[in-house]
Amino acid sequence: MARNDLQGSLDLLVLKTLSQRGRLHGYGIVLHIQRASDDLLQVEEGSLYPALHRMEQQGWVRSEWALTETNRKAKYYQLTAAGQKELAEAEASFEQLVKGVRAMLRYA
Amino acid sequence: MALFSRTANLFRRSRIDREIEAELKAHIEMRVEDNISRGMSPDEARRDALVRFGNPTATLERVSAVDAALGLNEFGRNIRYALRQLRRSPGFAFTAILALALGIGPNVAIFSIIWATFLAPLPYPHGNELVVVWNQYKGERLPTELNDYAYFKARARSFKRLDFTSWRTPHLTGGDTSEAEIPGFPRTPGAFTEDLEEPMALGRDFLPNEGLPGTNHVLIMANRLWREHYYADPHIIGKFVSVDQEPYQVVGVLPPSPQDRGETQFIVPVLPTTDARAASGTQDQGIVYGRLKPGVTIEQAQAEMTVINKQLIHDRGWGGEAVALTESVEPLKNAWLSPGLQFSLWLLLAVVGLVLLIACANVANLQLARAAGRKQEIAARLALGATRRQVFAQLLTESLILAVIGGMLGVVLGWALLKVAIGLVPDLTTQSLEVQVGMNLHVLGFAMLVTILAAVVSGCAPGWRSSRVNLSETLKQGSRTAGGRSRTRVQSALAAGEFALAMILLAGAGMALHSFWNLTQIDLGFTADHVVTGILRHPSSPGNRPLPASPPEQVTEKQRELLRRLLAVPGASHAALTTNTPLREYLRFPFTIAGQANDPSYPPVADFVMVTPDYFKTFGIQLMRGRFLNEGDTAASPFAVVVNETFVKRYLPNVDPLTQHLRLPQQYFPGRSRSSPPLECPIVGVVHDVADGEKLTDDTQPQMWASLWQAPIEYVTFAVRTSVDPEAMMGSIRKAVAASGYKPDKLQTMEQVVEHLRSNDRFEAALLGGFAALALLLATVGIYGLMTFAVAQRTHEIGVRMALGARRRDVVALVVRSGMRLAIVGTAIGLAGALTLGRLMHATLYGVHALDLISLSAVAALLLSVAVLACWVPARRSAGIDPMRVLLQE
Repeated sequence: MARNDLQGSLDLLVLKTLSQRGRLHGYGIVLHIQRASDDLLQVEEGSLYPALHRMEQQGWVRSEWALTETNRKAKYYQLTAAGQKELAEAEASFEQLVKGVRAMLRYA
Repeated sequence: MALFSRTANLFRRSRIDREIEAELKAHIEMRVEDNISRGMSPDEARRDALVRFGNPTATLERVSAVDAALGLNEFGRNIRYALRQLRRSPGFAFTAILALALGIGPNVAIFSIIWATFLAPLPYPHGNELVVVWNQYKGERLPTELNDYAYFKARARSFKRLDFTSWRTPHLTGGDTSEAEIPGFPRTPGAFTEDLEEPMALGRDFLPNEGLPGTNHVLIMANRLWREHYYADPHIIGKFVSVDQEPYQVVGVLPPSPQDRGETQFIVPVLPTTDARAASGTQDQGIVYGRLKPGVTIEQAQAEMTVINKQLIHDRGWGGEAVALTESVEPLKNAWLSPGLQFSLWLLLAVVGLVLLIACANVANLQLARAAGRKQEIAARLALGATRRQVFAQLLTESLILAVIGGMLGVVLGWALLKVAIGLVPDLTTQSLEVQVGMNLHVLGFAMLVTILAAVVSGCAPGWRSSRVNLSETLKQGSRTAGGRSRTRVQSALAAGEFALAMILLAGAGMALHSFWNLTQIDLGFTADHVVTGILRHPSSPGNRPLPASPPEQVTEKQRELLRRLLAVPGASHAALTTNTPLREYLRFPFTIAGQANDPSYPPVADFVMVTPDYFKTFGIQLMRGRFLNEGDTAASPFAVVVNETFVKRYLPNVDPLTQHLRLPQQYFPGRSRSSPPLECPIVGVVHDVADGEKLTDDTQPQMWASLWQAPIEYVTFAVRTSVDPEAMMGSIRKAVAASGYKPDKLQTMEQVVEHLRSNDRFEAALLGGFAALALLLATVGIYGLMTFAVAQRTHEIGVRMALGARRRDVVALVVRSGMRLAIVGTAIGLAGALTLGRLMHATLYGVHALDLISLSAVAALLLSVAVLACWVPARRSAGIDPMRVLLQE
């Protein structure tokens, strides 16, 4: 299990989740990341909420309270335009990182 | 305290916290539900959910901290990080801080003068309604006569009040035990309580009818006089004090006010008299102040005063030059400085702005150079997920920290500079009662603004550029190559810009110095050093009534005794009396020349000065023809006159002046009736021109001198030429004058007079010179830094060149050439700016052409030679590169 504490990666994962699933609450984001990564990635739940609130302050996501399927009140998050842009940038920079690290590893 | 603030925080944030709590709780509950639906027991499901979530209280705190202090946190983190970065490169930090301090300091100093002089509000209620009505003649401010004031007051409708302050100086004696004579001034009644809206501390203001003969022996004290000389006597009101040897009753005491800072410490009332006989006599002269009616603009008041002034000129039947008199309504401001000095101040503000700009360019350039070395670090941070905005904010924070430290040092530097400036021009602080030049909150606010501006200007470009690094390129390349072409181009442009600005400033300083030099080279026509002058103070003339004149023989005898005593003072070589000294002012006395036809409405005029014979030797005036006045010119002999060269050139161009006679009206000589025919005066000598304007640069006018022994005037000016330091003789001269029964006053050396007249120009030249030197230093550091950086960047290239056979000389030339290209381009651009500046400054310069080739070429040469040096040092270093080592590094 890759436990990735890097803030940048968590942001990327959350933004990506929201772009794929539209509107989601925190618990749903945790489940989605776990499911989509075939249980490889497990979000540390305690870190998720500070990250979500930070992203909200930065204007990447916006939130609203709504009812779940089980009629429970939960806070739902949604990507904003700025969030879309940020996602694109984060994806690009992650690709670079991966390329760079891979190049390093292959270097004989 | 901590407990209290924490509680307060909790209370304030409880609503937000409750919401976060609900959010986290929902998360846990959903997990519990899922767990139960997957078959766990409720207890097990909850335990599992809690374990997965971690400590909910800790999470809650973290989330709420993010919510409450995200911005603050990031800022704090940036500051910590920036400090760490700066500590790692102390050389850079030191240079940048120094450059910023040198840029900000002068701004603080000049702004504090500008603030106090032009911008600070008057310390009076509704200060914006207060105006001064200036009498002007061709742009020069003149005092207004009391009866003209009465004329205006009777007609002008724009003013709620119109008041008059006389320039006459009554003296109060006998305050406590000291012998001090305290000067005061006359002012129209009601000016304080009604015009300045200041209530009295004790007693009352003057009554509306006080100020006429018979009712003018009342007095208001400034708070300081009352405290210092009357021990704040609460029962002072109604007591009598002695002003000009007459009893005046104290009716009021002012509250502490700007008046306390002035020399004049009490006020007596004055009113225009309606008595026609008195009105034709000597008039009080002074300044007209007023308060506009609410809703009346300055322009409206000005329009009204222009009309009234035309009426006045018409009613009084004035002709000739008087037609050019105008009245100008101006807001009462602190600006009492001469227009030339005011212009200098604004010019200096612009100049220090440019200095700051150079400093910012310098710091920006340093940042860019440093950023090249930091590419790796920044790329790594971006790769680890920092956003570009964060990196930019980080870099800007670094600039801000530099600027704040630089700003603080700058304030200290500014304070020191201010002391220097005030030392150069004492007028800056004594210009009016209301002006207080110094550090205050406004100045500090300005300093803060300038600091932030400096941070933004010097940090934005490098920050923006650095946050745009190409990630993979940088990470791949490693540390060797640094900076692309475009970065160098920006740096080059900045360095060239610094040179352009430095060139402008140097040109300004060069012209100011050139002008100042010209000023010191003016032939004044007399020897200013080693001369002490002072006035024989008139015994107080109560209520402006003329004293009974002493018989002429008695005056002459008393004055001869005075001169004997002055000559007996050790160190005195010549002594004389005169009605006027050089550089005081030029007065026009009409006269006629015997045997010449002349137009009675436009008679020849000349300055007319009565002197004792030794005057010419005392002032070191050169005789051109004939003789000086001498002891043979007595009351019994014909009136001898000595004239100057300009007189001869203007009025007697084609004749031998020594054969001519002047006809001078009898009233020029005291004790003679106006109706007698003019006196025939032979011209006995011609002397070199003596500067007689109030400015050093004024053209000398025609002058005439006659002997005081032929027509005595008692209270005149005395002058002593000394063979030792004149300042050291002031005390003994004062004693000698007092011993012969006169009151000496206003002792000064002629050198002080000349120095005072030069002080504005010296101020401008010194400060401009200083700031230009600063600009030169900053520009030099800038180009030196850039070349050092460029050489470091090109180490590889230079190594290859040398391996391929380039000689050291070629390499040095290569580097110097690339640096000088920037310097020359910058200087050329600066030259264009310098021409504009020259045109702006031209009016305040003396004997300097708007296109001052001498100073322009001198400063351009200076700038370029300094640039050569700044390029040559790093170039030398580049020539020391060992090609082998460079190539082996590959």
